Amino acid sequence: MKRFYLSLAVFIGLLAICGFALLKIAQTKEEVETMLERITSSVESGDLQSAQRLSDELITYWIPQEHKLIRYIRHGELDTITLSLSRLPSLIRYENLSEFLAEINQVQTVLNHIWDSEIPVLRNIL
Amino acid sequence: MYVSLFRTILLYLLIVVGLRIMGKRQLGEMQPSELVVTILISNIATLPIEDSNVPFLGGAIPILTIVCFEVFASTCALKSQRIRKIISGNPRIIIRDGVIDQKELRELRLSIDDLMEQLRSSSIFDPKEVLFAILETTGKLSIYPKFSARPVTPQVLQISPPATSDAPPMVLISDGKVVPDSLHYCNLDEKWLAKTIKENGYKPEDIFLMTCNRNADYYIVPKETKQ
Repeated sequence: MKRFYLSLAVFIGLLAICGFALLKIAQTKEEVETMLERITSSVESGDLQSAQRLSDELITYWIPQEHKLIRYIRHGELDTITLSLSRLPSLIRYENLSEFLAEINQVQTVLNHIWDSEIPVLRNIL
Repeated sequence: MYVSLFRTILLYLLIVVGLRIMGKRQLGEMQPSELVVTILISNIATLPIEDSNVPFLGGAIPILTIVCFEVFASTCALKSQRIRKIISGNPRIIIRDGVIDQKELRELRLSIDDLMEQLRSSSIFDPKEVLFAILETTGKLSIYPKFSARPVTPQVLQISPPATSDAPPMVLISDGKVVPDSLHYCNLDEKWLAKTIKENGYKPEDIFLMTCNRNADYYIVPKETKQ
């Protein structure tokens, strides 16, 4: 029975790790989405300086989060977000707003895709 | 490349720990479920090793989950005969009193060549000599020969065993190193060992192998001198 209880403990540990990873993704997604919404409304209202400041803040927030998330998520999707975010400062500086908003959209879509593929629902399991 | 190196080491350690948790059963002849576990683990382990885009936990979590479920399943099988039957199946009798059960062979999809091969590997060349042949859940064929085909045993010849017949020889010195547990098992001490080695003209470090039984019958293989 020693092995059984050891396995039970390991399994509970695994459930905890999975739960923690899901929580971390949810927190990051929520935070990034809020920041993206603020950036979009700044751009739409013509306040480009504020949009630039918020983009820099988003990049500063994202980098440490990415380092944590690579432990749980395939790196490819996180790399896509990082690449899109890295383009934002230049795009806003040279006022290429259509590209800027497209990149913001891409980040949002990839984030949603990550969350959708990580939640433990039947659609993802089967 | 360092990532692959460290991941391989970590996954190797993880699988060794996993197999230790699953126990010795996993390392011998495998039940169908155990074979599945082994194949799955070996395949999953290669994913994070080959592809650095896959997080380490992406390999570790499935491996540990499989290990846990194997232990859960084997514990349930230990407690319930019904679960044991579902997981491992039943042993099947394929030869009774020298007669091959062809229906059973067809159900097991076992050809006559496979059967004869397994019989021959047990030194039986004629199915007539078999009283019972049982195909175990591990796929191994257990054979109980007829009396006339059984090897002669001391019991049949009514030979009384010598005093130390059930005490097999143990390794006392392995590659120049004394094994204290074996010495204790043989009811001998270091003094006897030192004296015996000296009498034979060796030092412990000159001996490649020394075995001994409880009757103090020993056998020494000296180390070969390097040319």
